[in-house]
Amino acid sequence: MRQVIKKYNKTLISISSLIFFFLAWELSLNIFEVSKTVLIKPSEILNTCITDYDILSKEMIYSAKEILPGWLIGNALGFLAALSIYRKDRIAKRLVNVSVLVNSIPLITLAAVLGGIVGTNQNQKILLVSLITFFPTFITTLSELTNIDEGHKDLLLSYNSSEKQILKKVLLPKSLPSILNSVKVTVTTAIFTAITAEFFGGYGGIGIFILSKKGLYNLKLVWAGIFFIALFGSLFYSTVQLLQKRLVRWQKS
Amino acid sequence: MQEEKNSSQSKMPWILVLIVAVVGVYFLYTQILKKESESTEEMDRVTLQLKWIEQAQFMGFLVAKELGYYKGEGIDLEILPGGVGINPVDVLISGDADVAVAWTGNVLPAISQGEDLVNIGQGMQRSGMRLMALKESGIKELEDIFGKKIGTWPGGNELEPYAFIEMQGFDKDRDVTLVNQNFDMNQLLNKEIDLASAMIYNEYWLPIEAEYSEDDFVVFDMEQEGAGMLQDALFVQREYLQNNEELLVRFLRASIKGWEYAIENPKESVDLMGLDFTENDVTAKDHQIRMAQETAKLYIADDGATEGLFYINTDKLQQTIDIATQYIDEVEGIDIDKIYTLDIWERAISNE
Repeated sequence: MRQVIKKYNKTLISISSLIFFFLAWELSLNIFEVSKTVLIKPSEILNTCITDYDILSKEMIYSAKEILPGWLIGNALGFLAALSIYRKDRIAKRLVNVSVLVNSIPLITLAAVLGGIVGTNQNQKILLVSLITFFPTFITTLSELTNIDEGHKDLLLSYNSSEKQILKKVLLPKSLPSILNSVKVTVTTAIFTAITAEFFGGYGGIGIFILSKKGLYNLKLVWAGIFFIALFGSLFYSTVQLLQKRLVRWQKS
Repeated sequence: MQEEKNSSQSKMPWILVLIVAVVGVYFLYTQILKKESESTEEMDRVTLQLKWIEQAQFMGFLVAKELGYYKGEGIDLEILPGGVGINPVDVLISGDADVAVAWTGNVLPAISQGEDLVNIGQGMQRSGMRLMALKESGIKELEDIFGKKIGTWPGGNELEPYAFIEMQGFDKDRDVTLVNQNFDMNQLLNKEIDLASAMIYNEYWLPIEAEYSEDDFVVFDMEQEGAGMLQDALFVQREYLQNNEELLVRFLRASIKGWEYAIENPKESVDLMGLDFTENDVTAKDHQIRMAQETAKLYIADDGATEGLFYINTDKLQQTIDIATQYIDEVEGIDIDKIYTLDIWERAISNE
């Protein structure tokens, strides 16, 4: 029994702190008078999540169709682009520098401009999400691949290994943990990007849903929408985390 | 190494104390400064939140300020422009503005949630909202909107289109596609949407000023279709009203004077507002003059001419409440007597 408790200690702590947080939220609203146009009780929000499950999930799925493809395309392109140029040492190093610079620009502002060029449809959000998730993965992959332990390289070269073999035996296993960490970070970025882009206009999605319900002071649906995004985000993130653990079994976290 | 770490750790609380002290001093300083600036002036400060950016839609307030009508009543008026993402009702509730030019339809959901907001004067006597489609889209009759993409402006401006759609027997969430419309007509002209929201004093004219003619469009007038709700009204919090009745009377009197001047001289008013005009946009001078003329029509419509500017017609207010209650889920249980007062208006026009 004690061992079981020890094993799940972390989970227990996080669950109990979550429960404590929501209880404090619920109870403090009983004590203090807060306008219903600002904040409502978590029990009411939970209730709305259940009763309006159908519209909320419809809008969330709409947004997910922007987030998931964009995230996949951005990460795949970032990885493949880095893979295709990492051997050209000089170009690669410069590209890393340029990409770091580009990555520091809040590219989400492009949503305003892109709307005029490609319209405000789902493809616009996919384009934006893939653009924004491209750079972190590209930068990490490229800098990891160009940074090889000379000793390892010399050893493999002394065995007359080809570049492909070096990549497979040394570079990828060494780089994968960092790359996957960066991929994990882009999960949050992707969700954030798609929903913010929806605020600039579009045909559907949870971002627009929240915006329009906010205007109608339907705080229950606004908060329920936020809960749905949180739920989707946690699910998405844990899935990627699980995949990461599967892919890099040798790494101790 | 260990020592260094310890010394930097022991410095931490001091840094925290310093930060708190700086923030505290800054806060006190700004508060004192605010008090001082308030007390040194003899005039009463009033903050007015506009529904949208400074433009001819609000010419009466802007002109009254420019011509010193508010100063004449002993009021130092600060005008806060609106814009994308600014909901005047939110600003009013948060207390950042004393008076807000808000759409009644926008205010009703907040009142349903328990906010105590009161209408002290009705600016526009009719709805200026239209839904317009290109004729080539095939939309001719009301029932043709089924299955179409309809542009609305989220943030409290979508109640009339919602009511209009539901009145035709359609479900706004299932039978049509609602699209978050930008504050221009490009989505309509690019055929991204079939029907666009347009104000008769603003967006309606944008395509016509460009290259289209009025005959290219099919237009549904929300007022004529029975979905019209009152817009551009002056709202205050009840608490503010109770503490500042006399001040609001003076504010309304100066506003009415400004609007009378602006309606009489729309072209001159556009120059007086102090805007930076651009070309081919909502801020172009020609467009603003047209906006001034169309806005004037809405202010002097119906009771605006017979009873006087800013008169509140209770039948129309009740109609707005009825439409909203019937078709908008978020509006319920509103008692008309608790959301307006004609008292301020009567005292303002009687020059007491």
